[in-house]
Amino acid sequence: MVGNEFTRLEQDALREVGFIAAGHASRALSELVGESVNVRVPLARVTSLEKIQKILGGPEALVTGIYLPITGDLGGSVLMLFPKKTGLLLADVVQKRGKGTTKKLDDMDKSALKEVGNIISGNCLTALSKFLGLKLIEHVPDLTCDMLNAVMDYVIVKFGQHAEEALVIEIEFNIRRIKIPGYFLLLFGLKDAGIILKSLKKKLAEHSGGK
Amino acid sequence: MPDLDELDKARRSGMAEEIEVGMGNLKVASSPDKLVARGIGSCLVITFYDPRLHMGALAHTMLPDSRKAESMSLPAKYAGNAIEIMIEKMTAMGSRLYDIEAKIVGGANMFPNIEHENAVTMIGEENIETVKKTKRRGHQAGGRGRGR
Repeated sequence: MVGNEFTRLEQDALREVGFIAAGHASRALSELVGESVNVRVPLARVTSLEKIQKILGGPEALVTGIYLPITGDLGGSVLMLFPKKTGLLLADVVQKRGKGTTKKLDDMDKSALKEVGNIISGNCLTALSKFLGLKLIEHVPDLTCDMLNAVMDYVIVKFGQHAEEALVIEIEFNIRRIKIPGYFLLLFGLKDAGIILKSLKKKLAEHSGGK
Repeated sequence: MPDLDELDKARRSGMAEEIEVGMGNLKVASSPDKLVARGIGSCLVITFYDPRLHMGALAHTMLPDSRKAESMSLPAKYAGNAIEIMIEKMTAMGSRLYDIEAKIVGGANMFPNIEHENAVTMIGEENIETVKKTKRRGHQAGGRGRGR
């Protein structure tokens, strides 16, 4: 890593981490809602945190955000974002109600959605932890419904205390039949991104040494 | 008082500009232009308005003060510094300190149930505290402080 830039190879390696995370997250989500889920890992990049906001429509777009901190060998965050409408739809699906029934998330819905976040990130982090050989501890999630900017600024501030950039692994998913698009963001500080790369390199060396 | 017809004309003719102030930034503008910051969570927005000159400043701040981090590439990242810059800019443009009306918006705790990150979740409140303290300093210097 030179300065804050990753080499092409490192970017690919981090993207691979994204794929593993995406695979497990989508399988968990798919089992949970009983529908097939499409995922895409468009990006694993180091970015100025202000730029993340551009992904989900305008800064005033209403979203449901599920957030949970990661500790252990790495310090990071998981942030799941749904446009407001699809947040309501997802509540319908997990609460087994007719599509379009939920007009406003009540406490039970919120709790159910937090559980969705918990299961998805739990699966995803367990896989990552195994793959990277690092201890990752997932914490209890919290949920908020607000404008996109307001949800994001919490996370931006969290990372912004130490640096202006972070490693963002962006996973886009879509529950196909009911059209529920959303984002699953894995965020790590640059120091933690370095730790991820180091353990990836170690793994790679072991692998080629074993041949 | 501003000439409302004049302002209205300016607005309709498209001369009035809406100026977005992104996170960590600070802008100064005069009527009929508008300063806007959208979707505020734990960030804290500080506004200054000088009714005599129809001029204002808006800072979209993220953190309480600059002691906790070293990087300073964004002018209004820290509430403490932002106020000082705002005062500097406004007075440079002819504002008198005691004419300035100040308001603060934001400072929410977006995820109150995340106990693990008390240090972060308290940022909203800490932002408010810092601004209040800095504002108080201003009042002692003779400010009228019509702000809330």
